[in-house]
Amino acid sequence: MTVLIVLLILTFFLVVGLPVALSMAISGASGLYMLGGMQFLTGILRTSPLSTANSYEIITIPMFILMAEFVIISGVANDLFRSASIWVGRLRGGLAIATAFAGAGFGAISGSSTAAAATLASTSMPAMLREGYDPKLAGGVVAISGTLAMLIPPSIALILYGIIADVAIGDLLIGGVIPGLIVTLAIVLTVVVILQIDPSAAPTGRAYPMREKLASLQKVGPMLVLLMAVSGSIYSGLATPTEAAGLGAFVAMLIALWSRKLTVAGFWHALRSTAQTSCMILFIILGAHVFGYFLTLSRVTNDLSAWIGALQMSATMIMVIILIGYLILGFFMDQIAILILTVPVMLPVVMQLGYDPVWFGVMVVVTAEVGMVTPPMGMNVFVVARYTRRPLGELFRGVMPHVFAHLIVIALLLAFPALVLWLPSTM
Amino acid sequence: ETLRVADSFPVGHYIAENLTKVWMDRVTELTNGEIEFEYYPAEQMGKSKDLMSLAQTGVVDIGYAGVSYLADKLPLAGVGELPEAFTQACHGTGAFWSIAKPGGPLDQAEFAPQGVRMLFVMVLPPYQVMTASKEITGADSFRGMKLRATGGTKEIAVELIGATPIAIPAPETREALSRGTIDGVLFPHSSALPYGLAPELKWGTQDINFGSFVASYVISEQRWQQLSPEVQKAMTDAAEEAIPSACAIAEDLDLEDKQKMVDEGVTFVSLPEADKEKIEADLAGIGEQWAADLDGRGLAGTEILTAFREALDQQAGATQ
Amino acid sequence: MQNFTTDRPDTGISAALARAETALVFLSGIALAIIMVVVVTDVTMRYVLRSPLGWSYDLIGTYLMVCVFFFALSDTLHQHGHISIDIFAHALPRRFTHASLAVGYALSSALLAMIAWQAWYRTSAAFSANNLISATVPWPTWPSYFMLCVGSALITLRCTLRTVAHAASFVTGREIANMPPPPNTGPSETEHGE
Ligand code: NA
Ligand code: NA
Repeated sequence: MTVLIVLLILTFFLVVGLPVALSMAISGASGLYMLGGMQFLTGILRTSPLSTANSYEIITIPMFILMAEFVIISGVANDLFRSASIWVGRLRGGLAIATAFAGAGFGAISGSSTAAAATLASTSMPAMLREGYDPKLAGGVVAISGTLAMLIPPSIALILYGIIADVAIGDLLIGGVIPGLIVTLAIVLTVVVILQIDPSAAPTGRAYPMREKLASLQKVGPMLVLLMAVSGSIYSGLATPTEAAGLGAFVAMLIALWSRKLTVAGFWHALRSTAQTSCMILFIILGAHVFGYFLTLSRVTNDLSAWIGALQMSATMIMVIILIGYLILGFFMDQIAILILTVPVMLPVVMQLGYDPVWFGVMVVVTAEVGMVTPPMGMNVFVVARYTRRPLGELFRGVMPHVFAHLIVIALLLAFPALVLWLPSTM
Repeated sequence: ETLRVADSFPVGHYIAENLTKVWMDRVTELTNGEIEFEYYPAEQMGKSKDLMSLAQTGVVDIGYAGVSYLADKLPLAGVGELPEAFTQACHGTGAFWSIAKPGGPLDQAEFAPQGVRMLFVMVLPPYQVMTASKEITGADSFRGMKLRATGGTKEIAVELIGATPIAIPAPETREALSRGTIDGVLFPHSSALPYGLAPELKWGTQDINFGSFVASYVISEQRWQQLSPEVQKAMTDAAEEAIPSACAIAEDLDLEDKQKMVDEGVTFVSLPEADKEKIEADLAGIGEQWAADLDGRGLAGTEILTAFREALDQQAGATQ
Repeated sequence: MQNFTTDRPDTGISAALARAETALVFLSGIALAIIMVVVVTDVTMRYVLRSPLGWSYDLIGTYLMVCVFFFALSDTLHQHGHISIDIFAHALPRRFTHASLAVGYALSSALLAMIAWQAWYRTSAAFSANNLISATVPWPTWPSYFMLCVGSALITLRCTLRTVAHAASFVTGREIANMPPPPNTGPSETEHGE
């Protein structure tokens, strides 16, 4: 009953347009008050705000966003996108397909899907609108391509899962590679299908001679430098994934300096914008923590996992129910909050069913990708809206076809766990 | 009555299974079911460093107090994590419990003033140096190595043996080892397996104490006073049973895990006697420096260190 | 890129708050730059000199990240950076929206004031007990609580101001409150991209 009232309070404030972080915090706080009075409320408010920020590993969020800001300033992201669009050539919807590839490319550098979405939103989105793309198609492909960054290594979400579940982070990161490529392909195919149905949503591009295609590759050079700085330093052992985020921001800054595009004003703008975007994300995480502690104390998560564990069904059926549960949670909650809240209670159930924790981590992240773009809590869509100032409704509608494509990918990974587990097993 | 117990151990962790749950079950049994528990593991109720505060404010009834996470609020309790003269979990645990239990000198100096009392505790089997490829032969072997170590006194211990301490989150350790970001780790044997380190490791030390880890659970004094004397007695009795049994299991697991690592190709080395004595003398200096620093801040550093060393001697005498 | 202006000029109390917010977000940005430099220095020192900065973990975790987050809180709210859901807002009656937001911001003010107050309690407790990070890192812990206290106090004031403005909009039926700028709905944009 309390849970229902609290969900109603949350929905009410979300609908009237109170910031998401505040809506979660005050609804969670009301719930805590109903459960245990001021004692619960002040106790949680004494500890959780500082703990949201008070950790070294959390720097991956601001550092990857700062890197994205410098990448935008340097024009490198534009070059990557332009190169991808030259190679895609005169295909109808070529820029949308190029966005998916640029998303995968940027995903190989960025561990944060919000940072990747910000980059794509400021590069490929304006280009598509200039060429007369349907804003729904353009916004949708930008928001979903941003999520590739949380699946293709390095990935903050997988690192966080590894920390919560005590699973080797290396296996998780490698496990994300093949699913990441499958999702990229799914995005491309979705664009192709959309344009089959409605060819007017995107114009054809123009063809480029091979000479120009090759020439465009030169512009990708700085991107490869960045790839070396981030992923290269992780795989060579030079730095941990956390440190690699800081290295990436620094190298992106050097590239922006070297391309003579970084002014003092631009530098300050990048810092302030990063501070605000990180602050927005951390404030939502804080609100989600308060909300999460309420849910934990109300015992619904435990009751739910106990109920699932006791189901008399085949392991696959139970896993389908679990994944549907994750998709539903993803509608309403921040992905990081979902990880913290559910992994400790779900993992024992999942392992008892005989599933591999690495596989489950990748599955949780693929469902989280869906959650990043579904209303009402779609962090990636929020970020795209923040950078492009397009209406949220339009973006959410535009991303819908990709959500369906994602569901097919999830079914595929469920049917063939080897798609996730094969690559880590060869390492 | 149902009490809320919160800690930060991953589901299935050996401390939770062999200490926390054993204690909870025993209390329920001794009170004939009057006291039951709701258990919140894996930081579900808050970060490691917040759980004691949550017990103080009454959000939970019993909270985990991992001493190294609370170095700001429980500096004196860090005595149990110093590289002192014990190599067995029960030896360290028994000594620590005797000074930290309600009424003991550490309780009086640190826990009671903060309004909490310790219910039960485990001092883990001491940390060992384990390396990926560089052979350990003597005291000089560690020179120039990059070793993963977190927490002040462990970093000093690493520096004392001539190596460089590197702070890396535990779940990133295996990668750091396999890619050569670090040469080795300062870890308990039983933590090396869950983090998947065994395949990456070749050499390890044994029978030496490079520092340890204190896992304890506390209840606020106010909450304690609300419990009936029968319940209080049940909790105290359960602790006196659970503490020795849990540390004995921890020692067995330590041996078992060590054997599993041997099976995976890790060679454990006892340092030559002269080298061992030299290192132990150096490491003992950490305790004295630690105590002097705390004395300088007006805290009872030396007093607590002395009490702990005496308790260690007594424990050693008792077991022989 | 988004710009950092709000849709109407700041006056009076709001302008005074905005100056405080700009000052704090400046520190937040500086802290970000320091984090980047410290991480790079740490990794470099580890390889070049084989002696990393032992203090980078504590500096970043205890002070810098706290500064980044809490000193940007109020500035981000002022500039509508804390994302809110705009799908239904236009469909609702304006006065209802203002009344609801007035209630929402009032509750938020109360909550944030409690956070600020708890942070002040911990600041003074840590200060008087002279709590240090650990026995080997002799840095005080009170500055983190203090930064939390200052940042949440400022956003409390900003929320209170919003409460008043929305309440006034509700009572008068005029658009007094500062609402998020309307989204772009045109077919193309010119300024974005580079
Ligand atoms: Na990535
Ligand atoms: Na969602």
